[in-house]
Amino acid sequence: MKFTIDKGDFLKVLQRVQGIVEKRNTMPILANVLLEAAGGRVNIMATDLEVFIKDSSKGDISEDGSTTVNARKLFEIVKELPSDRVDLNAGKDDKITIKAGKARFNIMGLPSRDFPVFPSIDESNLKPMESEKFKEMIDKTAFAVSTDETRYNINGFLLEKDISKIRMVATDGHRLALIERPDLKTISGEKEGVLLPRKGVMEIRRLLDEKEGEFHLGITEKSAVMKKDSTVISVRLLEGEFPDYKKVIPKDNEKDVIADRAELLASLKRVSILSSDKIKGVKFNFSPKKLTVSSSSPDIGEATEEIDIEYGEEEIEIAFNARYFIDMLEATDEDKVRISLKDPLSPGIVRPESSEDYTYIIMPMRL
Amino acid sequence: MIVLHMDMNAFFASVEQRCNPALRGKPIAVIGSSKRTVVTTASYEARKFGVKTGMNKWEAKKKCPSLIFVIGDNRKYIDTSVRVLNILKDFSPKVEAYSIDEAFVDITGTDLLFGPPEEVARRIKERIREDTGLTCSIGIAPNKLLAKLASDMKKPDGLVIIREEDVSKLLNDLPVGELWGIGPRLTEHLSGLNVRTCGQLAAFPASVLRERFGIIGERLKLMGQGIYDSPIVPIGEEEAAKSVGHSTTLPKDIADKEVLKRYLLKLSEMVGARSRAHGLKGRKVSLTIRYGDFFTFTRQKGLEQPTNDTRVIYSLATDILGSIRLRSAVRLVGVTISDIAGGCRQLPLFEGERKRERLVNAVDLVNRHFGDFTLTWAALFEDDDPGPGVISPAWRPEGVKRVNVR
Repeated sequence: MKFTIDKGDFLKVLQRVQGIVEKRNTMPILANVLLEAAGGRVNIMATDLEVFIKDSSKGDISEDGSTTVNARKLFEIVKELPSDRVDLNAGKDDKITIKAGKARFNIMGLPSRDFPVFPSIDESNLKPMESEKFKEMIDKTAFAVSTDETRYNINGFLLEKDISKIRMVATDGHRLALIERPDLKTISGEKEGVLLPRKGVMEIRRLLDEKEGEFHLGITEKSAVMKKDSTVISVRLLEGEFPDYKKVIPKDNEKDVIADRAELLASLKRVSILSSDKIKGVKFNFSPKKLTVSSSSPDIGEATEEIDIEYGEEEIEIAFNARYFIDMLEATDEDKVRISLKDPLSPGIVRPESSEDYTYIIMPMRL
Repeated sequence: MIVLHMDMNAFFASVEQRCNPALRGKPIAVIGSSKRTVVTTASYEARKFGVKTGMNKWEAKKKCPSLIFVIGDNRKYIDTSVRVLNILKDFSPKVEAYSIDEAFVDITGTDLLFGPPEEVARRIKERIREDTGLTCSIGIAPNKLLAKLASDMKKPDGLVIIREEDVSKLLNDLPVGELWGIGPRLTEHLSGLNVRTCGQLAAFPASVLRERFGIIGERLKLMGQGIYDSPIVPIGEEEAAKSVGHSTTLPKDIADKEVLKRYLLKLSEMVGARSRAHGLKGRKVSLTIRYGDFFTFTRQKGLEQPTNDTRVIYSLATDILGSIRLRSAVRLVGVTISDIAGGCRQLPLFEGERKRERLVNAVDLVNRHFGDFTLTWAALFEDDDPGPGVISPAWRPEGVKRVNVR
């Protein structure tokens, strides 16, 4: 294999696939990227066996072929190369030579036949989707996804399709975020609800940041595929059953509080500085027109702050992990939020004041 | 620092002889109540015949045909132990109950009240004899390791003092196996490196010990030098536990991960139950492995939410085990939770988990009432050895005890 490529183009695709490369070296070849020169293009692929990414860039191919090479090293080398043109040459024994200007690198690769095969993609399955909408749905739920490896069934997002809506749900067993958006251009697919792993979704999210506009999304039996220009990401769906989220959405939370989002966010950030422990337990005391948030840490001291709210019911005292509130308040853009409560041991609901399509449920802490 | 180590002589047997005058002066052996029980303690009269701890009844009887077996009564021992500890507390506030019949006392600076160390020791022995009729051996030294060595040097009713300036001379030719924490198997492995005495151990390159024995390597060298910095943890001050852990030396070395998992479940349940009893939760779970050749290492995994749920602890411990390529059979396994969060009471959102919490609480309640492992995991049930039914050496009068692998 032999090709010459623009340094900037090469660097861009190499950077894009870096995030996928397996960091734990369980299988040495997963630390590599697959390079393939064919049909006037240089194709690049990386995988950790959960997420597959491929991309391509134009290049001057003088000899077709393929090889695999350490992703990190290749990226670092290309980044530091002195000239705009990069020559790459791989022999039959996967010895790779990279030349640019007067610099020359020889590195050993591994044969491309040992590299995992990219899952086949049915292009007809891919349907257009608005980038901004999908990004918003990710951003308003991602913080609630569990990162606890022992709970693999909630290590991702539930993506569901209703008649005219798509819905995304994430939970870590203590809080749950749910967002619904009208489905203008129907995502297709056989399965009604699928579980998208966190890492794969965050990779898609990263790519959407880089490239605006529309992209294509498709769900198959085993994977979710997203395509944007020359980049294709295939994410293996999580197996396992997402908990029945409908059951935990309280129906009888009748104590409604309206609070200013920015104000509540700022005071929670202040007050939680003194909550003991890494778990940011903060006491919320709701009384007519007034919310008092307070925290205390036996070794350090205590903090308290009052916030004006709209509330007319009886006094209620309830403790929450402030972190859980902060995450949601930071992700929301509306000026006011509605907090609906029942009692100190039942889950509370937080929603933007004027809409029902973004729901956040927080389980309190025992006082 | 001046450390005093007190070791009750043939404790269980002596208590029985005190309680029943007919047993005094006779060879007796305290045994458990189960069928396949072994000797827990033999009286000095029986020891003369060669009766030792760990012998089964048949072996013991063969050594000493006139031997009298007495089924142990833990309540008597606990009662006596508490009385002895209270005596020790009259001499220093820093008393660490090491086991039911052993304690460390920090007597640094007590000379103005009670005179020099020998005098303190003499008074303690006298008080114990008056109050309980029992004898003990006392060792006094600059640290726990040496104090324990000193109390072992003269039994029964001994009093040995090791002074700082005599340490290197004393240790130089002392066989390593005499040190607290170096058992026969480890002694064997050390002799494989041509290390037989503490002097040789002290002079051995730390890097080689580290490579050969893992995390315990450096500590071994220091022990050879008579250096030991573990503090005395007074009764009642253990509460500020930084970790909760249990470890066990396996009945024989095991390489089969499936078999090891059963031990992990049992240890996880012990850790879980104890941390639940004290309202502690940990954000890290670690697994300690010691190979047959004593190479020891620990791997840990973190959690988003602190836990004391046996199932979560077990699941992480087995995850860690799964990620280790065992290079030989395992001699000891240990499970510990650390990064402790007290007072965290985040309620779970899903009903399934809330149900589980209630279930675990109910199981704990039953076990607190009827004894550990009364109600337990079915996977542990095939364990046909219910244990000797004898009080654990890890027994403590109060508080969460931190158990570490040594």
